[in-house]
Amino acid sequence: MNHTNHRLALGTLFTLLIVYCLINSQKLHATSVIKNKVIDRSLFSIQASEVSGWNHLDVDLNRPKSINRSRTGYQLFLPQVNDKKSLHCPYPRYL
Amino acid sequence: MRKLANWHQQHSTGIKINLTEKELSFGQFKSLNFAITIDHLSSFQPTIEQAQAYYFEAIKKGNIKLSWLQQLLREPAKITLTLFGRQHDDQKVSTPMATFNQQIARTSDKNRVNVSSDRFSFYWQQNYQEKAVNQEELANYKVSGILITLDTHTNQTLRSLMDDEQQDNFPETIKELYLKLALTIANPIIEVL
Repeated sequence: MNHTNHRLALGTLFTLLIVYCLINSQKLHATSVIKNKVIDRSLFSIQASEVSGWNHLDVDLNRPKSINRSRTGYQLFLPQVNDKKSLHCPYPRYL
Repeated sequence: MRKLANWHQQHSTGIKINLTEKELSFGQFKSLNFAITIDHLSSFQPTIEQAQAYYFEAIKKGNIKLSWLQQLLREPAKITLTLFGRQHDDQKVSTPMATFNQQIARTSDKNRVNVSSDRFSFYWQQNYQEKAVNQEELANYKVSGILITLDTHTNQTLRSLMDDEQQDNFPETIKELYLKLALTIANPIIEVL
């Protein structure tokens, strides 16, 4: 009798352990899903393909456009357009 | 690059981020984060004295006043972040917008900027006139994109300070003086509600 009870108790414990593990694995899974959803829905990264710009200087100064879009983003390469001779030289740069 | 004299195409160059595919609304917008690095050696903002020397003849003729240069240049330039709705290029159509002015950090190091929506000014714009609203009033309108531009601290040009007659007869012979800011923006991220 004692032996049977002992086996029953062990079986119950084992079953409870299995159920506990299943529940917790579901919780963990649910948490992961929620976390992923939060990240997916709360942040937007901006891709290089979505970045561009404009350049009115080609019209203003009759200079060719000099826009170069690199793989990592947007860059503008422009000549110095102010008349340096009219400024004190060497003039201090910004900051 | 930003013009100091004329308001026509005053943002000579700038950066535009297209957000049409994000389907983001003004109501969802929570914050904008990015890293910014300024190359001060490649940037140029004239001092009042430099601008005075540059416009010496125009000041002598009375076309430009020294006080205008002082007004525009006494504070450092700034970066303007503008969220814009559809048809922002058409001033005949009222467009939802939001702007924030970012001071330029006095360092060449990379700085992380985090601007939350409550620091933006939300408004409708039509015919260059703005009507202020709160974010909730624009909640259901889509954000088409973001503009990043350089501005004087008052957003004005010399032409803005002229009287009506001068503005209409703005002499094209007045030389333009360009403010220039070389910057790199990395990892821009928009956080939404």
